[in-house]
Amino acid sequence: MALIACVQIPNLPIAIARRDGMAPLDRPLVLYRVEWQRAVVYAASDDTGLSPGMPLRQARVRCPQATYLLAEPERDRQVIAALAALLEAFSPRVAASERLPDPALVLDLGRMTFSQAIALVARLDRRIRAEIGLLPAIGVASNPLVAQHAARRAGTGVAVLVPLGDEAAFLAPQPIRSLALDAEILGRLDQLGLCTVGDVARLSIDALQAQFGGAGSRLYQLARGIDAAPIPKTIDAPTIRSTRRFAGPLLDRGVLERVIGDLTARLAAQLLAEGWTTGAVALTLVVDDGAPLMLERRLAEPASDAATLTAALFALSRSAVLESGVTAIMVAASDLVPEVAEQRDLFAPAGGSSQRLRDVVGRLHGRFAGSLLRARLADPEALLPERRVRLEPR
Amino acid sequence: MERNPTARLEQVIAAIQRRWGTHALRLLGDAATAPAVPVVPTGFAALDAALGIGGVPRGRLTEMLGTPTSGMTTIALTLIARAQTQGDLAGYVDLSRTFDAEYAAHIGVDLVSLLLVRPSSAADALEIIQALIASGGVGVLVVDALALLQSVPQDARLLEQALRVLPGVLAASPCAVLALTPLPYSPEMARSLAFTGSLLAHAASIRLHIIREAWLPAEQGPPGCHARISVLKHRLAPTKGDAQVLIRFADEVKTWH
Repeated sequence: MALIACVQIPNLPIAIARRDGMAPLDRPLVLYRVEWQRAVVYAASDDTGLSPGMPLRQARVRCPQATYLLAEPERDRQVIAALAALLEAFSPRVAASERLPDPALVLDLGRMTFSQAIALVARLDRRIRAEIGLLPAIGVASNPLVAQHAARRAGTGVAVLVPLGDEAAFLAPQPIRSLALDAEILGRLDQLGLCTVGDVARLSIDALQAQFGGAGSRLYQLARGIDAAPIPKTIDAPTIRSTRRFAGPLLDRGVLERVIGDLTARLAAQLLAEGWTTGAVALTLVVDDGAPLMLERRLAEPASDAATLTAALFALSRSAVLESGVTAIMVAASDLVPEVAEQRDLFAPAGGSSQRLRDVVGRLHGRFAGSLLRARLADPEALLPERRVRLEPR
Repeated sequence: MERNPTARLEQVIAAIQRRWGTHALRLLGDAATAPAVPVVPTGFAALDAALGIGGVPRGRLTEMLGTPTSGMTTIALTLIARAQTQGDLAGYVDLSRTFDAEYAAHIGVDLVSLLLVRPSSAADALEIIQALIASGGVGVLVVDALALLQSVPQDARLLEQALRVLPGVLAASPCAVLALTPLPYSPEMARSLAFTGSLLAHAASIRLHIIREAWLPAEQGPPGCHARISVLKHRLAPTKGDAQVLIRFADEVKTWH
């Protein structure tokens, strides 16, 4: 299942100002800018009750106790760029919208299970906190539209994962204005008394097309949480290679396979060291007379272990027809995706069923977060039973 | 055509078994043809013997009824502890919100790997139970007070629907589901509830009724009781009579014949 993550830093300019210690944490903060010789609010902390675009004079009257500072949009853009660079370590496809004060960065995580996504989100969150010093809101879903809504709903320092198939149910209670629709369509939906996404999702595509023409089918898809817009590739993921040249041409398959085994072990070690898994392997055999023989195989799922890679490369080498000796062998791992940490402590003994259970628990956790618990003996000496035992979310 | 009726019957049985498998039809007394039912031992030898199959069956629903302090929860927790030592993952669906983690740890339950579920509604509970069973990763699932859902008409409907689906999901899973049904203290009411009127009664493959017979005298060490466990229903094997067990609430649990 391909998953999309959306990372937002809620109220980014205020978060940066707070991070940099430009204003006391316990006081409301307002950032303003001057445009057309008129000072307006650029960003304001939630406790001020002010909104961006409001005249500064009016803001000072409504919230006199706040700290007022001149905004630095360039610094905000630098932080967004740093965040995008950090996210590119997790995916080669990252799209950033610099719409302040809540910019959104969307990244394509590729094919992964829900439990893998949970582990990846935890890593992402830790790195953003450590390297950027800000608390992200992260949404994960099967498409960018739902991932962005999930991030918006998550709030500061929280991640929300929407299981596959639950997109429409997740969007249903959201106001229809949360979808990126033009004002005319929104106005007509309002007149029709359709206030939430769920209200629109209940209508047939014919009814929507009759009302809105071509835009009706787009509206039909958005209301059901369908968004097929791809995220363009922003960087090229590296390809890891390992090569060996021979003094003379070799034709012995046994020797060639031993060399391929050695090269694959080296490749796997490098993948492991750099935290990658590969989705495809390639074998290049440079033959004595003629063009190099290049063979490629896509793996059923991304892997970094030597056994899987060796099996795939051996299969490639056996399919090659060699009429002359080989002078060099190159093995390469491409289509790299970041390795996802496995949860090994709880479900270690079993095989496929434990993987399914991990997925199920991950999915249930997204829906019934407060219901799945882990009991822990906290303080055995405490007099009150509720202090002796602690129930924590699993 | 075979004229001997016994021989003809054997031919018909053989034909049915060839077509639909040996599980489709067999003589109950014929132990050799009975398929071995995968079980989780309860930790009480007498109870395992009374069940006739060596424990609580996997892929089936077992209901245990008993009044509070009869030892029902202790037996369930012992089952979980036993399953965990075998490498199974266990879950405890705490509908009654009475799960005592301290006591569970005392019984030997590994709390770290125990999946504790406290759902906020009946619908959530039934969905979580079904999902956990269907995952195939849970070895034992204890559901405390599942029958209580019957007291609310809307929840009872949900339970009825879920119980129609559950046997199918369970059959394909290695999970042994033990539903605990607390009974009122009054013996007459308890007896009537135990024998009739439960939605679970129909769905369960095995129904056990635990009755505390006597408290242990104080001079005999930590508190405990003698309990008798009757097998009310058994779809998998002929029952071997009642089991008498000794349950100690604050010390080790031992078997008594």
